[in-house]
Amino acid sequence: MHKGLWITVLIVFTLFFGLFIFSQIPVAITQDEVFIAVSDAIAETNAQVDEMEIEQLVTQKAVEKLEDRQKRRLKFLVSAYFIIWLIFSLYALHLAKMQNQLRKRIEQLHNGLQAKE
Amino acid sequence: MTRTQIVGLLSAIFLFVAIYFVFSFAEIEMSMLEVQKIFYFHISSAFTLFLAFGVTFVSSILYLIKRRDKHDTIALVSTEIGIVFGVVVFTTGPIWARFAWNTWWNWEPRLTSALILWLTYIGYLILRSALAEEKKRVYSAVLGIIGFLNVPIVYFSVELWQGGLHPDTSTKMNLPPTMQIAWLISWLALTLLYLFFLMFRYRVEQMKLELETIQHQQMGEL
Repeated sequence: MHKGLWITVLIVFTLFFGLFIFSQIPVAITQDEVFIAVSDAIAETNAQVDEMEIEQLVTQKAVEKLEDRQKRRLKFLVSAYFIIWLIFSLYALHLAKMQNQLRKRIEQLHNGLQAKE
Repeated sequence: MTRTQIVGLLSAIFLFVAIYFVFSFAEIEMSMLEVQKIFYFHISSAFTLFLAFGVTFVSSILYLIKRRDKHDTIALVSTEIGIVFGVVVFTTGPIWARFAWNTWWNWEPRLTSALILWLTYIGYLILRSALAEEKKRVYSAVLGIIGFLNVPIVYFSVELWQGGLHPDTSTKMNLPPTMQIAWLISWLALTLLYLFFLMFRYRVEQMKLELETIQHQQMGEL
């Protein structure tokens, strides 16, 4: 049971983590976000050049901003799910360890009693 | 395969399915985007915590009426598991709060009442470890009953005290169907996980009693 539980926890952890890592979270960007990112980018771009270059710079800056925001959101999401899984695994392992220790102790005492008899 | 192992396997399968539904089926909420996906396990953990403390409440009443060790043991293990689910609630909550409200913690009604509930049951475990064998069962059963009275307060705190940051209790019923399904599957998965922990922990507690009995036997022989 003890070995089995360790293996179960390990397998489920791998499955979870694998699914989580490889699951493709669809990129969902709202119109508001685009407006904010573009206006921020315009403010930060010291445009002293022609319009074409300004457009390219602003677009590049806006994309960077949107990517950064998504990275930040994913950091929150990954942290939360990692913690959830960590807490449950640690508790399951704690129970397994406790059960194993008790089983060993009971066996020792049983053997001791039998030896006396 | 034992019953505990079957429930354990079922909970692992349902957790896997829940993860699939949360990340691939439920639609993206447009104000919090990906971070909203914390909701499914955060809320489900909170509901499972209520369930765990509910089991403690019922078992404590049964213990006071029938005085059977079994009920006391169930109350104890359910409290312990409820606290574990509480740890999940109180770690995922601040992560959500930091993103949504720009703060890790806020002393608003839902958070404060939930913290009091959690601390009450930590007190339950402290009380058990501090008292003698006979007293601890009765006193902790009384605390197990009193502590549960806070559950409806936590649940309806948003309606009772206006101005909190949490949405009211009807919000989850107004979710889009894909989100509702993902949430219900997550809740079912965590309920099964709770059941697995309960059976497993109960068995461990029985083994402790078995060990104590053997030790008493040996002492008697000496």
